[in-house]
Amino acid sequence: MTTSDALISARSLTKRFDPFVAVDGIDFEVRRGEAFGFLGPNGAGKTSTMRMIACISPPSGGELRVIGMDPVTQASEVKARIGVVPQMDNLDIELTVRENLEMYARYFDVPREVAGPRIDDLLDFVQLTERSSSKVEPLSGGMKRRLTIARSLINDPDLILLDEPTTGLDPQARHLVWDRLYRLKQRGVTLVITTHYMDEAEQLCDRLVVMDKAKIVTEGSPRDLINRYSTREVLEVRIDDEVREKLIAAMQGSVDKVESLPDRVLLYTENGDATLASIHEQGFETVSALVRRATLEDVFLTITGRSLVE
Amino acid sequence: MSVEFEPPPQVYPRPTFARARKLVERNILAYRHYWIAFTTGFFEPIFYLGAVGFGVGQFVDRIPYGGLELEYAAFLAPGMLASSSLNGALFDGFFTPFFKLNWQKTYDGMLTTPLNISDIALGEIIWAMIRGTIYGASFLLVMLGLGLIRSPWAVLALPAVMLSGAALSSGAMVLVGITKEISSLDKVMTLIVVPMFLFSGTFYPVSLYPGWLQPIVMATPLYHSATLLRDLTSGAADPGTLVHVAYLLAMFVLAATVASRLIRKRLIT
Amino acid sequence: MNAYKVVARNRIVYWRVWRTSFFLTVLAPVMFLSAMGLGLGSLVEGDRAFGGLDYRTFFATGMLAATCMQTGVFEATYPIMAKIVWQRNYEAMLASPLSVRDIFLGEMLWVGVTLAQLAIPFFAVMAAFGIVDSPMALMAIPAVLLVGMSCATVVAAMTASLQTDEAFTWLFRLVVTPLFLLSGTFFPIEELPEWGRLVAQLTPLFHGVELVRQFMVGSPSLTTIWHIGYLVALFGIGTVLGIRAFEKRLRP
Repeated sequence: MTTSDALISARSLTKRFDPFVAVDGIDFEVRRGEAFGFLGPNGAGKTSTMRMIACISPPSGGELRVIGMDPVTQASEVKARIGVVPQMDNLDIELTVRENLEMYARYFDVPREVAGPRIDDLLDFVQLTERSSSKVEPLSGGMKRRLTIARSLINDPDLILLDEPTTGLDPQARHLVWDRLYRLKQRGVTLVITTHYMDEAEQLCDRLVVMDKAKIVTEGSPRDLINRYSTREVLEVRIDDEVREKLIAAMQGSVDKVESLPDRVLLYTENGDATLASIHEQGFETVSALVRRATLEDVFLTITGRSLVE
Repeated sequence: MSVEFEPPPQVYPRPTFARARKLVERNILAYRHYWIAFTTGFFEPIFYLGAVGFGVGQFVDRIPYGGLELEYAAFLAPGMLASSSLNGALFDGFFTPFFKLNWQKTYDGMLTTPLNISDIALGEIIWAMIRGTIYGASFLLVMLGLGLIRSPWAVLALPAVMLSGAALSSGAMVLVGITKEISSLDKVMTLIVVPMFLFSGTFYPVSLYPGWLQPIVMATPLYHSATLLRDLTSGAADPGTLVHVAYLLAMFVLAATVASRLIRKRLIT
Repeated sequence: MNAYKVVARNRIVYWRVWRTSFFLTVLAPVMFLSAMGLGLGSLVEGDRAFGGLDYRTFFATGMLAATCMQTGVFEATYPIMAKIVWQRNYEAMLASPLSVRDIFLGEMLWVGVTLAQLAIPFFAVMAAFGIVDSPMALMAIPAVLLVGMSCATVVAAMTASLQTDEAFTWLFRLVVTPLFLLSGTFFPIEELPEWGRLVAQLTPLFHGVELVRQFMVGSPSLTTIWHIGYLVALFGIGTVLGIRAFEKRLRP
């Protein structure tokens, strides 16, 4: 059912690149003011979905409404009200930092007297004021990303689409980007984010869908999903290969679930420290052990049996 | 399992001038950083005119043309004007868009704004025409200064340059739609541009070609562009001149349609 | 002497596109010679003015030398700029036993290889057009390699001292094209005004064109030595300047 405050609604949305199906009949709804995430590994269909919402790629089937309009026939009208941060930066390298924003303001028909002060604000917001007359090429990856984010805000959009906003950035740059996105969320801007980083999804998203192999496999808030699919804590153990199978056999039954990954064994349990103590009591020597809170990564692993980032 | 969908009918938005104009503004802004390339582009046809028209021209007899006898420089100059229009169309309609599309991904960014592909294609063609018109007008002034303009018909040469620019740059945009590899640039140059430049009746009358080659020459857009301009600057214009106008108009419409379709295919996936 | 390794790297990259490239390399002179040599040539009268050559021969020889100059200059601009600034290949090479000198000489040798791939098919096409009639004419090939490589050394020295590629536009539009057209390639420099003739005589392309024509007609003389001397000297000076500029840029 489409609720009145749905900014995006998709029913049986499909994208095929014959013979390959990139998005296979998915349903979802994004409400005004929320931060909505598509979590999934590379090739799950996240980017294809984003491109359809952004009016760049026409759907091959199903229904899609963006801000109450048809993204194919009313492309210009829809695009006028959204901001896009694509996976790969596509800044205009023949222009300077400031000119990039000025030109995009023109594309969006932002009146000059509004554009000037807004550009100043945006440059300040993404901390690029000092580089405003620099060309784009010499900027670092993080700076380019921030400029792309500023560019996506030039039309004061109702909706921002961010396709893997922090992939390829160093930790410091990631945190700066997250901070800026968090502030946008506070201002009530609707964010749609794709990511294959669970920490990013946990930090930014109010609600998310997990995608795998072109389909949505589950939906909910990050907390919800963790509660639903995982235990409270996870014990990660590294152990010698000879005793690995023995440990798995021994712990099967005394914890909720055991996952064997190439480099470590994951034990899903309500109390990690107690589980570790019981392992040691049974005489197992661990190389290292870590008790942590369960994350979306674990949710994904539980649902699909594979990890998010291969 | 996926259900078989009929792809829904695609109705694409038509280009609007208001949106296409933004692309022209963007190119003007970008060219402020590359003004050297802009200004020096004007000299090339003049060097050719000097070297071949006047240098070699001294050893060439007058050339009969449309009932007139033209000295070689007066014969060559409109040919060079057409060639420079070809060069400009190629640069603005092919090389630059090729890089923007395949390397710089400039268009991908623009497509997230209200601009659609048809707006971008129209904008690039308009920009190519503007630049071609500026070059064409300056070259015509040089011709006037050198006494190579022989007829008041020449006032129509400027619109003719614009028409030829529109036709040739639309043709160039078709190439953008069908090339992907950087090595295609070389092929386009050697297989299309150089032969056109050399064999389109720009340097000497078509009658000098062997009989079998003449119809091929007469099918090239540069031949029509050069002949149209020559008719106008020399004063040999007659009703037959309209054939060239019709050819270029038809090419413009056809190529612009095809180009926009091909580029849409490349960008919309 | 490791310079050949730089050539080897370039060869590997180039080989991939070589097939079509070779076809295109042969096609270009065929078109130019038929259009300008035969076509325009049939309109041109006055063999005497062209140093006893018919216009076809005059044009073909000029074109051969001019094309090699153009290619030599081109190879010393964007490709080298790319390896210094954009792709930083030289930086990587310097981490190996290669020296700056090896890199510079290797690049120039590569220019020579590129030019040979251009000049030999061009020469063959000329022969097919019946323009070549003495074995001495074969000397035209090393001659044009010398023209292209000596121009390349000087331009490479300039490239190494540039920060951006903007100057290349000036170089091609305002230096290379006028040289290409006015160094006695399309018409004899005697037709130029007095000052133009003096300037033309100073250009490397003029000496290259003269050299090629002397070999083609089979009449080398004392002036041949003067032309060769000029080009060899230019190559020497360019190499010294080039290695110096490369040193300054790559190991500041």
